[in-house]
Amino acid sequence: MKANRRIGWLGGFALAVLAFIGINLGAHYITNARLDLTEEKLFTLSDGTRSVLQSMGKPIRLEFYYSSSLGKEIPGYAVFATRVRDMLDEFQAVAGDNLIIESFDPEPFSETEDQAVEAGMQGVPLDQTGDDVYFGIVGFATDAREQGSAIPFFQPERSNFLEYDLTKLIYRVANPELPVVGVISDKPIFGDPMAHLRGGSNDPWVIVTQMEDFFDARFVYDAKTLLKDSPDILLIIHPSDFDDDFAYAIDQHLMRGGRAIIFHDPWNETAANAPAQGPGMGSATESDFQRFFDTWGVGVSAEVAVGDRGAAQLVNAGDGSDFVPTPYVVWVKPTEAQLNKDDAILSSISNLLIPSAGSITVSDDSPLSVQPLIESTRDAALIPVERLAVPDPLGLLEDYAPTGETYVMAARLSGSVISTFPDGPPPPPEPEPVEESADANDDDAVDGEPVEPESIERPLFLPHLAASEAPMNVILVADADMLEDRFWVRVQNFFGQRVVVPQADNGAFLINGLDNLHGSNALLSLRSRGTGNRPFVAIEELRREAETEYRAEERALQQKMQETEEKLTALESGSGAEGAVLDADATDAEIEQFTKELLDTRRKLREVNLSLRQDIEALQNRVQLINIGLMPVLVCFFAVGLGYIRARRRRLSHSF
Amino acid sequence: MGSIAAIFRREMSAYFSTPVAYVFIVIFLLMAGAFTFFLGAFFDRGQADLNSLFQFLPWLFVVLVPAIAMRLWAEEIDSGTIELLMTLPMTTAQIVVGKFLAAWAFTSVALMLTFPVWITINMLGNPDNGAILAGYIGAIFMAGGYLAVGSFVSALTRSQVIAFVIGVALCFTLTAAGTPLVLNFFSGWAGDAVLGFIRSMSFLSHFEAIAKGVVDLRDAIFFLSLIGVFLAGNVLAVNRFKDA
Repeated sequence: MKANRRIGWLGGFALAVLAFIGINLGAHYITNARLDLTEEKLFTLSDGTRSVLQSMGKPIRLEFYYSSSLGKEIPGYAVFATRVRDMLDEFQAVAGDNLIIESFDPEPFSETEDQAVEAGMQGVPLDQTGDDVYFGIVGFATDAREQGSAIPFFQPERSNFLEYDLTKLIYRVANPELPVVGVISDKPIFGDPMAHLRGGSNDPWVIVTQMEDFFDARFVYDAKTLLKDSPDILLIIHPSDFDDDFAYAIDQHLMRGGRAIIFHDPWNETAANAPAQGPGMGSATESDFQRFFDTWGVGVSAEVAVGDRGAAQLVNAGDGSDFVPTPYVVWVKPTEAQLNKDDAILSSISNLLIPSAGSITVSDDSPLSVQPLIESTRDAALIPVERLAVPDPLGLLEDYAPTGETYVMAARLSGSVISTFPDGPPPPPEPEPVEESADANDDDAVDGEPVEPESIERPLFLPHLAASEAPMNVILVADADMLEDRFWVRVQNFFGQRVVVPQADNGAFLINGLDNLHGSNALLSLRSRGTGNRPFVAIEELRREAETEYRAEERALQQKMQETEEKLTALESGSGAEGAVLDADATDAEIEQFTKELLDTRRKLREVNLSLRQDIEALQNRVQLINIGLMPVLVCFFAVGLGYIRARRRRLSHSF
Repeated sequence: MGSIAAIFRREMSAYFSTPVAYVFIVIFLLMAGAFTFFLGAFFDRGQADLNSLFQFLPWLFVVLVPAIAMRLWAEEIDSGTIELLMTLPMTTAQIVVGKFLAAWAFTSVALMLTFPVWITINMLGNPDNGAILAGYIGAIFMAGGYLAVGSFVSALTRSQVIAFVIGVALCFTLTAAGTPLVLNFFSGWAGDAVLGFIRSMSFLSHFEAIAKGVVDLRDAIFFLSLIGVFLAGNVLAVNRFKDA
């Protein structure tokens, strides 16, 4: 009996285990249903993706290459690959028959591997055996395999942007014709051969790479290129010297209802820090655009930058070993409250860094309607740009005098205006005077006859418009630095490929702006999902408040220390001068006294620094104590209390 | 159903009438708290989420949950009260489920008592509360899984110590199923499909997937079916004592 029983229950258990295996395997293949509880619905397909998938217009084929050996060696990739496959399944569900997805597992030296390499997949050696693994995807518009768009190798750092990357790939394949963006700038946006010669990189700015996914970005440097390329949108970044023809061409583009995004800086950090260049490399301040601003009745402050203590980026104001986090008031990190969230450009933007922006002013009689996009908090002040030449975060904080007003750093301008060149195209430039040949013995020259000046071709301007034919649409941003790589993105090199990991939404802001002006809003919701940064706001605020209280004190002490050090060095070096012997004792005493003062001041400085951190540490300690200790203590009380009640009840019942 | 409820009530009052339960809760909370703040770099990370806590929960459970599970059956077997239980007018399954649910409820209570940290991060910043809710749901599922395993093991022996040790070993294996530590044991002789399956058994990967904020039906099925299997085994093991 017992033996049978034993077999019975073991057998039953084995059956149960088989059922378990079956259920789980089956579930894996049958369903992919999910409940997305995240606030931003990070794991649900966004409307932008759905709209792209539903409006593809023609069938698109995706080939997904994934080496299963990769997932076996590094489980993290297995998880990521599952996520990619899941998302592709979701895409399939929305797109229906228009989307064909094929999966391949390229074995080393197989035909599939050749096919993968041909499609642009990046093979990565897994270990010393030299076998490559693949993890990428490529999309084609038709059955032909040319003109594909690809992700050569999925990067784990970009896993938060998976949906964006895949949708972008499909969009690119479905829409090979891209709107033309004319880029006007005196900065090396498309790459800097000069820097390359000096050993730097010749890479274009990341914004260009991002733009090129959706736009045909072309560099426009004079009137002729502008007229030839005839861009849909102008992107003007830190313009400086225009000749009149160029300015006229830009003006006429706008008169025809043209659209533009203009980044105009009162203080350009990079130009300020660059070694002296010849003309054409741009200055830290610029004013050639002023004639446009005058006609439009708007302006960007030329002499001042906006400082915003209520939304300042923390920088390290210490030197060497000291790490002193300080808000640098001219580097503004607007909170969501400062962004105009009703505007389509900003609805999905939350994290911008705007280094040293100017303030946009609108005159009362401006014909344009101005909608602010990015504003400062009320704790803002205007900082003269001279103070930015040598970065001094502590000094700016100390002298900070907020005006209580808010300042606009980016705005949307729209409306009809008169031309900045009301009288028509500018006159052609004077031909350069040619020198007569001074050498009487020169056989080639004919004495006394001037040489013909070269004829200059005039740009083929379109018919002149004295006022807007259609309302213009311009987005004006009072800062050009924010588009530079170093302020918003981290670029890494992965086997020769540039991998881009955004740290802020600056790039997304530009693309949204271009997209918005171009008119396609479907993609806007996709740009920035899940930069995933949720800091401890309360602690940061505490830090900021403590800053203002203690920095003033610290500043005074540091100054005193500097003076004392100077006096000390003066004494020590000057003590070899005249009358030294007589004053030796007195000098020694003075040196001793100054040294003591110095040490004393240093100690006070350390104390100030310490007390700055103490508030924060006190908060942290309090939080820790409560969270670790409170519940256990309460539970103990509860237990003791319950035990006591029970004991009493027992005693009472015994007493009967 | 009424029988299950009766067993459930009996077990729950038993939990709270001895110091064992309180000691367990206090120790669990202290360890969870200490791990979160000190090992989990709570302030250094500076992020308003509960990842500092969630990354340690599986390992805390591996050690502490078998401690609850070990006394579910081993004690009854040892003291002989199991025969008494078997004479009650209810099926074995009802008793097993009742005991399991009580243990699960108790563990969930202990887990929910970590809520002060949740409140704290809401005061200090702006966390994704949906994702945190998902994390707690995942943790409760996971606790259920460990309990089912531990309860099954407890029904196999009269020694609570053996039940505890084997329970911890089994739970550890299930937690670390995706790591080379466990896989290497099988990689010599098991095929690829088997290895893949073992890897998919990992509590850690299922929990981490849920803690990201999304409750995938497959993860829920995994935990629920695991609980089902081990409860079924539990019933079969307990039935040994049901002599005709």
